[in-house]
Amino acid sequence: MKKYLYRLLACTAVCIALPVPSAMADANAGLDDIIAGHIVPRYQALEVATGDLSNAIVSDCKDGTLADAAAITAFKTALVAWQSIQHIRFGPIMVDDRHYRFEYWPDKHGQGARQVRKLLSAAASDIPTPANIGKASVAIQGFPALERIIHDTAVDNKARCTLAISISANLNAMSAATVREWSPWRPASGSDGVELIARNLSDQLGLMADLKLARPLGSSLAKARPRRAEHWRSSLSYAALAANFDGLHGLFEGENSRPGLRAAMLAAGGSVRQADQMAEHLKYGSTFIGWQRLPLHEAVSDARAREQVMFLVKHAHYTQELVKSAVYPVLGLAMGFNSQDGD
Amino acid sequence: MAIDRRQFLIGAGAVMVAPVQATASAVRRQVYLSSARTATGKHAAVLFDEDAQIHWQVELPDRGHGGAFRPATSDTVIFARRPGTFAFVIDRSSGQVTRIMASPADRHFYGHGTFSGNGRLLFTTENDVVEGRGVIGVWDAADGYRRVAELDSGGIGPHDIAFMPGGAVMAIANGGILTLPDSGRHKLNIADMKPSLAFMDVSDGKLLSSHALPAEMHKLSIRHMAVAASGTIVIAMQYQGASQDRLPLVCRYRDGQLHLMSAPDEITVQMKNYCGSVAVDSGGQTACVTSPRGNISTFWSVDDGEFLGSARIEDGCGATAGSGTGEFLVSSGTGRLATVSQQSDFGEWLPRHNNVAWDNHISRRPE
Repeated sequence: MKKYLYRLLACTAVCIALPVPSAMADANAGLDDIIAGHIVPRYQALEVATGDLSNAIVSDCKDGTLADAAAITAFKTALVAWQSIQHIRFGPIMVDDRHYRFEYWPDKHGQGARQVRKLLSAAASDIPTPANIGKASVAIQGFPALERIIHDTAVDNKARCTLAISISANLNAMSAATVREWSPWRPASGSDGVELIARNLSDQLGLMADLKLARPLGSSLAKARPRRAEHWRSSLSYAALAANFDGLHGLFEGENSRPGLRAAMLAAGGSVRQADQMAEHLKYGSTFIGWQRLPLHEAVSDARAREQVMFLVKHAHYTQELVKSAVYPVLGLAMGFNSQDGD
Repeated sequence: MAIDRRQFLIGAGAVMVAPVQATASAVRRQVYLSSARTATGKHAAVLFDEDAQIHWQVELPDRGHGGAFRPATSDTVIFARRPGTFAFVIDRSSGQVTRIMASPADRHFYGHGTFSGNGRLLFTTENDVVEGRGVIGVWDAADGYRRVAELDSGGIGPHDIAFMPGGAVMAIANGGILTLPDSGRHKLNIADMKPSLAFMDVSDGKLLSSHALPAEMHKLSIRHMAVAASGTIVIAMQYQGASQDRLPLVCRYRDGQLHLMSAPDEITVQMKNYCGSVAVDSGGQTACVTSPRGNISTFWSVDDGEFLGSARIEDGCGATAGSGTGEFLVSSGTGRLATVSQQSDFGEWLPRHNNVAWDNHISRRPE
């Protein structure tokens, strides 16, 4: 009891003595703008694109085969929409494992390959329907599984169609649920919203450098592993990375007439010069990818093109460091040694 | 041959940093081992005492993690942090490096290890990077830390290990998370992770039993544990699911079962889904769990699992039993060491401020 009284007293004393700094009081200032201008519109675009994808696959499969260019184009549009909001790893996208169901990757043990292969040779009644695929393994629900089905033309077309229709319909249903659930969603406590967004920005850059680029690159030309590239089958690895940079740039600069993370950073006392530098680096990532001639999975095995990939690894890492050195401290995220990276 | 070369290379980087303060009187004091980041940004194994006096620090090639004291000898071991491949054996009195162990080819350390009761064998948690399978490496400390066996850990990502009272059975915290060196520290299997607490008969490596939380809690990584003299294990977990989810982060193993332990909601929120370390006090009745991301340490009853209280400790992560009943020593990345008990509202910082950032864990030399 004494302890609780002491706590109450301590709190009262602190509350009276120290006016709460404005930046702290408004830790989530800017969060509403980021949700309304960046997060929700990007998920809405994903909902539209996966709806178009689902329709394109249904229409393509009317003749019993899955082969039309329209379906492949719709796949690319939907994938790019996903990649441009892949960095958000909090809120409704994490409910029911949706993030992993959109994209189970990297698939270290080839679970997607094994399970998709099994389903494509299974009886029609064993192939999940749009209504029940959400309960199936995460490895067969997302873009990587759909990509495999679209590009694996050597197997039975009827099975490919049935599974592709289920996956695309489910991607659309998950997008719609995510959009719907964002409207009332707010962080559970204090600065969780802006703090998580800044962390998501940093984590995504690290993931792009380490998993999407450095891993297929390997430590030498002889150790290049092209099939470790994300979406190598559809040659969309670079398109995915460009969409990542584009999404992060939208998050930082703001979009749809609403400010982004830059505004939160400047409101908390951040420097305009560093904010400009952040924005330029995010922009340059997609610009640089636009100059590449070879797809990523071919570039890693090409002595000269590899150097471009190596540069991009460094660029993503450097941009991540900028987030940690220029954005984290002003948002009050200069965390302790153990808080930053524990084990 | 490859291992020898590797050992040589690692050994070349090892430097005694600080002058050894190991006077006869200092050696008799209760000592603790921790990894730390030094003022120059390098990493070191550091031996210190209850006054936060540093006895020695030994530079490491990279970040260290857990440590172990070999019973009845002066061998002190610090393990590389996941996915590191080195472990240093250091003489407790002199601070001299006596051996540098390297994980075998296609294995890396997970950061923790423990000695058998007689000090003969050292057990280390490791990853088989080819199969993505958890293994326990067995090393003969009496024969120059020679690798003598490898046992199956019974799960993916074994992290902490500890002997049960009696020394015949080992408890293994299989965190359930797959990471591989070529992907850095990114976690690769969150959607289908299956953490477990496994028990192994160390005489033959046979898995005696394995315990998991209910399926809907499969993203609670069973990570660190402390074994009380009664045989109850207190487990500190890390939640890998959505940040908005609120789950209990502490559990106990007792009477053959895992029992979740709940704190009031406002405390659970502050723990930020992450526990760094757990320790049981010298009396065996109270456990301390650190949550550095929320700057909070929580106290729990070992016997009935009740939440007892909390204390604010900035970036507090390393935890071990303090000198008195109910007391704990907690280390912080700020360079401070604090003594806390369930009566504390705040950690009481020890007067000495060391110019190091204390890393995740403290190991206490058994009396």
